[in-house]
Amino acid sequence: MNFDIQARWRLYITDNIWINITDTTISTWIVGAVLILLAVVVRVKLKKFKPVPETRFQNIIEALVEFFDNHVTTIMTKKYAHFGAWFFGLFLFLLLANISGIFGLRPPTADFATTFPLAFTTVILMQVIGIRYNMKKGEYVKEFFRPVFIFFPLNVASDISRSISLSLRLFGNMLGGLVLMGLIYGLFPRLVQIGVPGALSLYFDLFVGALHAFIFVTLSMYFLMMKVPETD
Amino acid sequence: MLNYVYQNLSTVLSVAPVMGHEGAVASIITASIFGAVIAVLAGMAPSLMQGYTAARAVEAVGRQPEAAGQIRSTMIIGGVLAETGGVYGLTISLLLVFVNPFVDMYLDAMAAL
Repeated sequence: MNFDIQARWRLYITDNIWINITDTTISTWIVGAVLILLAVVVRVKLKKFKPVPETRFQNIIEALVEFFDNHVTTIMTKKYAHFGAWFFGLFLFLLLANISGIFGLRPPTADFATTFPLAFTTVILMQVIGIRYNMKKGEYVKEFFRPVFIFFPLNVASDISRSISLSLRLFGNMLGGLVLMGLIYGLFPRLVQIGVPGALSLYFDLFVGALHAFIFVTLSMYFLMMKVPETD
Repeated sequence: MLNYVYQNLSTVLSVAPVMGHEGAVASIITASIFGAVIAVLAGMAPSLMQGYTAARAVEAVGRQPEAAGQIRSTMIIGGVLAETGGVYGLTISLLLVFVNPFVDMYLDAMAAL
């Protein structure tokens, strides 16, 4: 049993420098292609959408968008609700990436190289939202020197460590599920493999995947809200 | 799992640059597995406290059934935040078992001598 990330192809730039095309890369491309396809289909069908939904497709899309819109406005208030566009895209990507294990792909989120950049984006967004909305009296800068100025390195470290805890949570859960499912598939003989691990796969791939995609996005939004003035 | 360890051991030993260190490598792998077991025990406390969170959430819903939705989402956030420590332990144990750095470290050190 081997749970390493396999490099499938190599793109040589020069003889000594190459780019590995790994399992993660391939599944990320597939997930991205599916998302782009979905976006194009929705855009084309958008002209035929009625004020009162008639088709099942429109109902599903509207329910998804409305659910996420409500969630974003509860956490981030109306003023910052436009950040929901980024988080909705992130949520859909993570959702598809986490449950792609069902379709035989290696989940891209079971690779620290996927989760860490996504979590680091949150840290950068925290600084952006702080500078954009919390700079009137220099509150954004002052926040780093709370409660006294000696705490500056600690505050910077706590900002950066958020990316680590956020990414390790997603990565650990997805890799743990991957390893556990691999071991369970190895445990059963071929004939029983169809039925029994299916129930566990439902839990580890579907439930944990969807839950942690949601958690990642929700925690990111909470972290963003820490950087803006509280009285709004 | 054991099968994997044996494979790992045999591949390490077949390419070992320094012969005569098989016993040391075997004990390094054994110690790593013990370490992984101890690291996984870190999951105990988060599980306990997640159960406690759920229990208190049930109490809260019993007291205020109309706030059930908000209580549920807050409970999930709290539970997942509590899970972080357990996931750290899990990550460390997975690293120890599947990408063990200490064998390479030992062989490098022996080769440098």
